[in-house]
Parts: sequence; structure tokens; C-alpha cells
Amino acid sequence: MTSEYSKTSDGFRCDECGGDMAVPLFCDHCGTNYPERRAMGPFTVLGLAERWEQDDDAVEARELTLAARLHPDQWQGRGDRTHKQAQLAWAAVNTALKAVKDPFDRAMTLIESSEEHDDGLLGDSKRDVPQDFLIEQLELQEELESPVSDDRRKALNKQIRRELKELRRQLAGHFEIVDATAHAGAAAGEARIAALRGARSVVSRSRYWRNARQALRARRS
Amino acid sequence: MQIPLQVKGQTIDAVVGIDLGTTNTLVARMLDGVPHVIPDRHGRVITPSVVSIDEEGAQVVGDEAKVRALMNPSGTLHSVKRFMGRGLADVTDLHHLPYKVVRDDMSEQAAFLVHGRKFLPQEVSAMVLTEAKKRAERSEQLRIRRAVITVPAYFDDAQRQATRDAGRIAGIDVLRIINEPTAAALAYGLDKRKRGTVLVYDLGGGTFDVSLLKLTDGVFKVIATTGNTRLGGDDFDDVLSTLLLDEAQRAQVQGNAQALRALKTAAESAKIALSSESEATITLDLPEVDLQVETTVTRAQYEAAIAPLIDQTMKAVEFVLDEADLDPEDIDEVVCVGGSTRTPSVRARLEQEFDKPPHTELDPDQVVAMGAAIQASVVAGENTDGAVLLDVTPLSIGIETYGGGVTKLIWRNSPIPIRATEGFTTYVDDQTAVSIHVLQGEREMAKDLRSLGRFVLRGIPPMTAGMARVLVEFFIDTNGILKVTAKEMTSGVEASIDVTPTYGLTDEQVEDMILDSIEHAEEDILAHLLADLKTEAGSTIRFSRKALDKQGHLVPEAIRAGVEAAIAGLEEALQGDDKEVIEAAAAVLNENTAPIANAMMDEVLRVTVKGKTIGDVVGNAPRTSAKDIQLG
Repeated sequence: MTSEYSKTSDGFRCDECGGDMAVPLFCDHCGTNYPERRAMGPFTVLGLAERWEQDDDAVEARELTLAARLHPDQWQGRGDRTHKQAQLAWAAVNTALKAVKDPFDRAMTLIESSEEHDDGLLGDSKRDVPQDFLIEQLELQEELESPVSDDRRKALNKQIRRELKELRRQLAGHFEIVDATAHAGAAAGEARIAALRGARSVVSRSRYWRNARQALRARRS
Repeated sequence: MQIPLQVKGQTIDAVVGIDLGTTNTLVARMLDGVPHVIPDRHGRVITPSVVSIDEEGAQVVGDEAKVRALMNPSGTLHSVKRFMGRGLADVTDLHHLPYKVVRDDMSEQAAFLVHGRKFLPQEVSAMVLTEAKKRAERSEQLRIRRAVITVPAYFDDAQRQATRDAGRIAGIDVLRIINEPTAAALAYGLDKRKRGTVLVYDLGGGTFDVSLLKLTDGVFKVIATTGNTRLGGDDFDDVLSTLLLDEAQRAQVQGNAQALRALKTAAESAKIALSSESEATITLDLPEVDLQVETTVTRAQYEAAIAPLIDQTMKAVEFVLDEADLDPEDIDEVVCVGGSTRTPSVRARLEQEFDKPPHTELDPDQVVAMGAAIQASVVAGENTDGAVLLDVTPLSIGIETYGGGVTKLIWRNSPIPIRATEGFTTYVDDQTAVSIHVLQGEREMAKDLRSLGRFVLRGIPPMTAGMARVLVEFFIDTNGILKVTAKEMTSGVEASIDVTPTYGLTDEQVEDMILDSIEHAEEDILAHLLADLKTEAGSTIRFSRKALDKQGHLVPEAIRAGVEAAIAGLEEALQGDDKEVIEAAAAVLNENTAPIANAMMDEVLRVTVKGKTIGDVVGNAPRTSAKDIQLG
């Protein structure tokens, strides 16, 4: 489910030189780099609807279309300034992809940009993760401080994949509410705040598992 | 050496791709939409990455340098790529080397000491690049000013900068630095399947990379990469040379440059022989250390000896799959790159792991240069609907924190270009400068990471401690090279930044070297060609005299007389300024000296493979197709 960049009646027109732009990120004529100029958020940079629910294939397709049009290699022959701006514009696309592509990162991007987060309604994030989960993770961390057998590593990898899959499922549940109430304002009230809190807790737990996976990888290198 | 007549108006400006390898360097360009490696006028597509410098300081590069290695071992530099952007402490296996490695105080890098003169790895690589460039220019009437140069994917920032500097010293405008496995994928991807996940296994002369790419309709996206910049065919040679000698014999050879050189050559030829034969007999005669050896090595012995090295590469393969969260069965294609993938047991291990034979259709020595040529035509704007490369940075980048820890700002396998910013402040009142130590690598403590450089931000206006807001920006460009800029936010003053690379050259130092290099001086090109030619001819004469003097007894009187006559002929030609005459006389001398060089080689070592002579096995002739070498 991707949205298109919102076109004005006369397409994408550069503020700076008035030339036509293929995508509203980088002016083919004067090299103005829009993510920077307009301080665009990650969803705007990628031309995606600002919501958690996304079609992975469509996001990937958008990345490839942008690459074909925008990648700095294609602007190298157009002078140093244009090339530099194209590099910065593409760096902005990469940063946006990092914030949006992975479902857990995307969730965090949305939570942190929500009004409720700004207004301090979500409470202390330190209390997001239940105690028994923390104890379990601490034990795992301790285990990963010493060498791990091949079999154990495989088993752990499998478990981490399973846990992350389950967390992603839970995240979908929370965001069904968050996405639906995105424009409801204060009327959404408690239900939205609870969903955002729930989502943040899921993201925190996913980070522990992802850190465990990193530690597991570091063990073998 | 031959020089074409410079016919004005016929020389074509070409944008090329250059594979600057540990053992070989190749130049390729696009012709009618197809990449092809440019042969020299003798049909050789490979310039050995070897530089031989004699007592007078004259340099010979490539095949001739390789020939001279036996006579001038301490002045013949090979595997120089291993030293690019490296300090002396990084280089551990110095005892294997017939030449002397020292520390260069100016750049803190490892450098080579040859007959009392110091050469930096960048300078030596520039000599190799210049030779490869010249060969290509002469054979196809080109003028090469711009190029894409490849590096191992796992090269860090200092190694990439050193490569770019080598290009600049050679008078080349380096359009892009691209990763070798990515270039190889590009060469394969052009007419191969357009979608799928590809694993590139690149085992070259001195470096190993493995990259995972996703190919989608002309977009080549690297998902993950890893490698080892100190593992390659050179190590296979070293392992094999230990099989040739027992412990006592090894001790005898140690420290004798000439014997080490002969041993390395023997190992190299035995290795190549064992790619197609089941056993090889090596005869080594090293009078300088009073050693005569005849050993037979079977392929089984050799494969057992290199198995630990191949295990290391397979660990990296597993690592990269894990990093991308993929299993072997998710990989659609496996591509073999680099001369060392000719080793049958390497191919067998890959086939076993992925349950499908790896691709070897394109010559593993040529495929990287071909991919670089494709990318060169894209960045030069010649090929507008070409492929798009989305690459990653191989290593994380961070800054040292209080207590010797590290804060990572950019993680490994992040797509590039990428930008990261970090705020800093002052610790004491009226502090006007902040020092930042930039590190690259994956470990947790600063001391275990590679130091990229120390950056000092000066000119911060005096204010209370903690009030200054210094924003430091890290930017990795499409070449994988890091740039750092800084700004003090509260006052709006842009803090100036002093960049001192830990191992490498400053821009000024590179400029100086460019000015030094003859190649770039604003003088008459024809005069240069003549000067070059004369220096080279002088060096050929010195080499021939020495060969005659020391090894003349190996060949019949008639050949000795031929060499004497050819030396006289060249000396006479050098009195004049006619390039064609000098060139012809030099060619005659080279031809006449060849039997002595061959006899020298035959005298110190003989590799017998079922009736073949060393010439068949070692041969400098280009191998045009991987299939010639592949086992039936």
C-alpha cells in the first residue's frame, strides 16, 4: 500500500529554478536537494502514507524506482555541485529507508513522531518491558559472553526468528488501532495511548532480541 | 616496449575500468556496449602488479619486473596492495618477503626500502597503474584520463583513500572507487538473469571478499558483505612452499632474498599445475643457500594443507548469510571471482554448500575489470540506461568516548552514501577546541579498532563548559570514503577541522607526489615518451649485462654473443633520439636475453607435470577463458 507523492496540478516544479522534476526530491536542472531544503520526514521522502501498515514489496519497488532516477552515479557528469547534492539527496533516501523499511524501526519512527509522545502521555519507556522478560534477557546475555556451540547457536537463531515474528504480529495488532486513530486527535484518547504504549513495549523487546542476535554473530566472527 | 606514432586527431579519449589487483592489474573499456579487457600490443591482457627497481633507480613494471625478480629480489616489489593504507604494525608476515619494509615517518605507513630509497605503497601502485594505462593507450590509440578503480569490498577507509591517491599520482582522474565483488556481479548481471539473490565469492591474490546482492531489473543492491583483506592466493603459495621444504631446509632459506623469491616462484607454478594435475614434481636448486631439493606434491596433500584457509572463507560465507538472515537455499546464483577460485577444491566446497555449481563462465581474472568498465561508462554519462549500484559500507564507524569505549555512528552494511550527525560539547570553561578520534571496525573498545584519524575542531568561541553545541557530520560517499565536517551551533561559527589521517597521505602530500611524477608534468608528451624509453632501455642494458655476467654460462656461446651484439646495438641507438630505432633495438635485446632468463628460471626450479615443461605451466601468456583451466 504505497501512496504516490502528492502532485500539484502542474506536476513537480522546482522552487528554485521552476524546472520540472521527475520526483519531488532532487531537481534535475539546478540540483536542489529537497529532503534537506524542506526538512522532509522519512515517509514524505519515500512518498509513502505515514502509517505502520505498508506493503513490503511496494516499499522495495519504490526504493528501486528512486534508485533508477536519483542515484548519484547518474549525476556525476553534471558538475561537482550537482553530484554532491545528489549524494546528499540519496543519503536522505537511505536514512528514510532505515527509519521506515524494518517494521520495528518503522513503529519507533511513528511512535516518536506522535503527538502523544511529544506531550509525554506515553510515560516512562523504562517500564515498557516486564521484569521476567528482562531476567530472561540478562541470562541470555551472560550465556553469550562465553563461546557457544554450533547446535546451540542454530537453536538460538531459530528462537530469535520465532520471537521476532511473534512480536511483529503483536505490533500489527497495536498499530491497527494507532493507524486508524491517526487523525482522530484527542477523541481517540485512552485506546490510542494504550496501543502506542503496547507498540513501544513490543519494539523494546524486539531490540533485546536483535541485540542478542548481534551478540550471537559477534561470537562467531 | 613499443610506442605508436602519435597521429594527431586519432587518439580517442577513453573512460576505463581498472582492476588494481594484488598480483595482476587489468584495464577494460566498453566497446559497442560490451566490456572488454584491453590487451597490450603483444596481446597480453594482464599487467603483473610487480615493480622492479635497480641500483640506479630505474623502474621496470609488469612482466619484465617479474623476470628480474630472480636477479634483483630485494628490489622487486610484489603484493604491494597488502600494504596500502597500512602501518608497519599491521604487517605481520614480513619474513616471507624478499624486499625490505620500513616505517614512513611522514605518513606513519609501511613503506618499501629499495637500494636506499623509500617508496610508499601508493607510489608503487601508481607505477603499476601507469604501466597498465600506457599499455592500453598504446595498443588501442587511446588517451586514458578518467577511470573507475576497484578495491576489495572489505577495504577500510584508509585503504580506499590510498587506492584513490595511487590513481591520482598516476595522473588518473578517479571517477569512482567500486567494490570488486560488486563489479563482478555487474559483469555477470548484464546478460544473466535479471532478478535473484547472488552470492559473489571473490578470492584474489591477496584478498578475500564475499558479497550478497539482490538483482532487480538492472538495480544491483548489495545486502551484506564481509571479507579478509589478508587472505588470498599468496597464502596458498606460502602453504605450498612449506610443503616443498622440511623444517631444516626452511631455516636455510630464511633471510635469503634470492632463495625466497625462487621458492615463491616454485610454489606459484606448483599451485597452478595442481589445479589441473594430480601431482607435481618440483626441483629447486638454490646454490646461494647450498640447497638442492626435489619434492613431489600430490593434489591431495595440497588440498589438505589449504583446507583451513578454505574453511576460513566458508565461515565468512556463513557469516554474510546470517547477517542477511538468509539460508544457502535462498541463494539463486553463486559467482566465482579471482584467480584463486581456479582451485578445484574451492569450487567443490561452494557447490557442496549451495547445492549448485558456481558460475565460472567469465574469466575469474578479468570479470572485475569488465564490471569496472561498465560502471565507468555509467558515471561518465556515456551509458544512460545502465545499471544502478547500491553498495554498503563494510565496517562500522564510530568515535572514541571517555574511557576508551566507542560510540558507533554508522553501522556496517549500511547502504551508502549515508550521513550521520553527532553533537559534542566542551568539558571546561572557555575551551576552544575539541579533539575527536574516528574509528572503524566492529569491536567494543577503541584500542581494538582501526584508527582512521584524529580530528581537532578549533575556533569554538569561549563559553561556559557544556554550553557549546558542536555538530559533527560524518558522510560516507558512494566511494565508501568518509568525510567529516563540523559546525558550532550556538554561535553559528563554523569550526575549522584539521584532518590527519592515521595511515595515509594528506591532500598536500598527494599534490606533491603528483607534481613529482613525470607523468603529470606539463611538458611535451613526446619528449616524455622518449625520456621514458631511454631510461627503460638503460635499465634493460644493465639487467642484460648482469644476466650475462652471472648466468651467461648457462647458455651457449652463440646466445651470449647475440646478447653482446644486441647491447651494442641498443647503446648505439641511444646515442640518437629516434624512438622507433631505440624501440626496435630494445626489442632485439629483450629477445636475445630471454633465453638466459629462461635458463635461470630452469636452473633454480623445475616443475614437472606429466611431461610438461615449466614454460607450459607457468607461462605468462594470457589465459583467455576459465574453461581452459577448469577440470574436465
